[in-house]
Amino acid sequence: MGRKILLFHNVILFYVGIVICTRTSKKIYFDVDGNSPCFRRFNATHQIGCTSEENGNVGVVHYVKDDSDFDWVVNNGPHHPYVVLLGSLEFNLKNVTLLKNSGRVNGIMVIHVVENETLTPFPEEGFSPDSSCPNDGYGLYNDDSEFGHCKTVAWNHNGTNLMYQDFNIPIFVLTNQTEVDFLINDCYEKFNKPTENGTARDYPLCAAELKDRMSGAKDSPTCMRRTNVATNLNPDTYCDPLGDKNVAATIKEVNSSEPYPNNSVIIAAARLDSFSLFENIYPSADNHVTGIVGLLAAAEALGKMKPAIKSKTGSKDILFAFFNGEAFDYIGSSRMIYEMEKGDFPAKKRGNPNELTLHKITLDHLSHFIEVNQLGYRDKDSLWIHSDPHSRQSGNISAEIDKMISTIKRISSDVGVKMDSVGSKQPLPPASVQRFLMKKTIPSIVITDHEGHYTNKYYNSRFDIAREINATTPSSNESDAYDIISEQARMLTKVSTSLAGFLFELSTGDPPPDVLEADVNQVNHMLHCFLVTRKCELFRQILPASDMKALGSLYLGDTVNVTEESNCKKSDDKDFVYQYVWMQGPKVANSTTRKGICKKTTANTSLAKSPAFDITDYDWNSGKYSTWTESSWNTISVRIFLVPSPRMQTTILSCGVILLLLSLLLVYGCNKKADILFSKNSVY
Amino acid sequence: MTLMEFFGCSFIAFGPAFALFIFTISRDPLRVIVLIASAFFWLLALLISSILWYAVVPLRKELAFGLVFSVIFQELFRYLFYKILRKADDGLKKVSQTGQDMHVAPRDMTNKHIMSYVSGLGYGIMCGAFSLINVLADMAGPGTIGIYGDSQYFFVSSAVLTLCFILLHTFWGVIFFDAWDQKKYYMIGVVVASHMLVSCLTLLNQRTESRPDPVYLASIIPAYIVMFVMGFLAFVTAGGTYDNLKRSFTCLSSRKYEID
Repeated sequence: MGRKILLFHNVILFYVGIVICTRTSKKIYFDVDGNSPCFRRFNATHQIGCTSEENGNVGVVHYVKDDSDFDWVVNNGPHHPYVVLLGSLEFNLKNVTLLKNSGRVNGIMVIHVVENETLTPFPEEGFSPDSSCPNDGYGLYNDDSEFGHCKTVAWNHNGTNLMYQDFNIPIFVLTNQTEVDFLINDCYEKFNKPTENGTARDYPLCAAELKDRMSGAKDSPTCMRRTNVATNLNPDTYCDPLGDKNVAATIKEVNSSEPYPNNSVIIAAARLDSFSLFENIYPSADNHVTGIVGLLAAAEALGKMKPAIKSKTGSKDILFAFFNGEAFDYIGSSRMIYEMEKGDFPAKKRGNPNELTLHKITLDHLSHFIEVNQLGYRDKDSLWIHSDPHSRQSGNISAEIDKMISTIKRISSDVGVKMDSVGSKQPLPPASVQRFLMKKTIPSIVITDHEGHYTNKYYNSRFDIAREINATTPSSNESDAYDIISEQARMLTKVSTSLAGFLFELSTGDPPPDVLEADVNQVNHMLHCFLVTRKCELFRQILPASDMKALGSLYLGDTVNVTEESNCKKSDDKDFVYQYVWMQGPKVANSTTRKGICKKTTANTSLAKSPAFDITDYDWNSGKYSTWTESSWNTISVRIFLVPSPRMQTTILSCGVILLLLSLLLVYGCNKKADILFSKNSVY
Repeated sequence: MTLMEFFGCSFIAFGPAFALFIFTISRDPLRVIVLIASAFFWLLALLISSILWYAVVPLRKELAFGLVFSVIFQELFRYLFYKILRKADDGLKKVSQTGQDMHVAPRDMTNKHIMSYVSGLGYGIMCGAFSLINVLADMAGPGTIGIYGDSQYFFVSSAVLTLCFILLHTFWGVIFFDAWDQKKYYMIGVVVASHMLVSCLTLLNQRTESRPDPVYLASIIPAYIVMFVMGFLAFVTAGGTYDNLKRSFTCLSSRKYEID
């Protein structure tokens, strides 16, 4: 049974190739391994996504390029059901609906070979499978008469809502150039392509079998109930709640024995996840790798300023928070708030009062909120500061917001980054801070790259790749590509420097020192690692850890002077303030060995699972928390093969049956007459 | 879909063998034992051939090499089985005499051709099973062969050839055993030579550079000619004559000659 969980919390993956043996099935079937299916997901009321039949959906392959091909598949072609091969431009809601509703299409394959721009052209006008108003139902303005349902700005104007359709046929993207070429040339062109004068080809025809059977059905409540009912000794899972891990770290490292006044914590947040229609294809370059890297680089710069911040009396603490699962109705942020309300944040309460932990942070502790969203495509070469019009009804808060805006504008213009604020009458774009504002009005700003609707025309889609935000370098050599500073890295570094400076001033009240600067190399390395290849030096350095927590520890933690992994642990049993993280570290110069590092850090993970699944008797229809679950599945496969004509099949079968009956008759007769037939040697 | 192909090919390849088995073998435990034993000897021949094929590394890619030696080993083991069967005659006679006062030897023992036929069939069934089962196993899926340019007649030709080999082995069994009994050594030559010939003909089914499409008919037609010739020889060897054949048809409705 397959298991999955959200997105790229675990940032490092290594793939191992497998050798195959040959047998007849290898001569019958061509396996398309470079595939990625669309999965089925559920919320409280609906199911969305795709599934195949139990044994896979089989159909004759047709490569649909223009209207005549659509007409062929939907109306004229004699060999339906078809499995349609679509180019990247043709795959849109209109065409998919047309194909699906014809009842003659058994599955869809979409070409997505990113390296090849002729085979996979990117849609000029944009493409986003998300809705035009993402996360609408669970945000601050849900049912708001003035701003609700994106009345003022339709943020994701390219949104097609493709993600939220229930397809009931399998849809796959194919990502391997060789396999796609085989499919087009050796399957479609050779066997299936109708002749010049428009007549269908004769059998044998080339067909495809798409298999991604989803076990779950209907909606989250049904599916979770079925999963939780123990019917036999072999418990089946029908679906799992979507979710992963939030990551959070504080600068001042206040422990439970120290005073921690209310309104003394600034949250600097970014979101970790995005989605696309297809599993494991989350390039997420603009949303939200730019935001994550921007904030991490600021954290790194501030990490070096820790003593200055700690020593300043009355300075505010800074909590770096990275939320996961936000694309699915704010799973991570609502979970963190839920834990803050229970007093379980940053870690669950411990029973023993003698034990020292990090000081708990509740909603009362929060004083400011700065959220970093997409930073990749700057609207009019500027970044934009958004704030919440509702918060401005209170004079104090409004003044505080204005102060924040003017501070960051001043600091960023010193660094050379243009930042502007949008009008105070415009609501916040979809952002985690909305969940906090639903609970408590705090001065908050969202920094992002769009003034009105998204500048990212590929929001939450498979096209949101590094190339599109100039985060790639031309070199094909990995070590060069790793070190050559990309255009995007240069710009992001300046943004991080201003962010760090702004956070510093907001915390201490002092203007940022000149040495406070983000490291352009770190930014470049992170962009390269997140977007180009995960087998990169930075991610190797943090091994065996492989997640955001390790990166946070690397940038915010203190180095402990030990050389052995076994010594990298706390000395006091009752001290639960810090985490100790061992990393294999950078290479020693002129050698292949590495020098390990031990980091003492407050960076820690917490569960990003919707509280809906933990609250007993949660009312699924209350709309309070995200209810997204993902169906489990068994096998995912795509294979190509020939199907023989029905006439040939029946001929073979009838020949077989006739031969069997004839030989039964003949042998029976011969056996009865054996004594006469072979009478020379018989006993007579 | 091609479940139809699967059943069609299974019936073609194993239908006649199945008919022979249920009407002539299954009712008699002794025959079943001999059938299984002879099938086992075919397996031993296969084992030795594959060891040889595996051991001679440089020729592993040469199908012809393995094939020739496989034929030699099969014939060798057929001879071994003949020897053992004749040695076991007395024992078998005892097992098959159920009654204390049975003076008449059972027909299976007096008519040596029956055991020859049974062991030939055992040899054939095992040979057929090994050449077709792995192909059949892959046939039940939705697809048929040909995406890499292989002939779409692969399955049906395999089935037809398998049928041919099952019957050939049966006939060879009868001729071969009788040849040793009667010391008609040239008949042994005929059996080995025809076996080699038909096996080598199947090499034509390979796809090579110069011959992208296999010529199935070039192997199937000669193989069936050889099969009919061998069938005739076996018929004659077992005592069949034109007169007998005629008689068996004329007294279809007359009284029964069966004794047991």
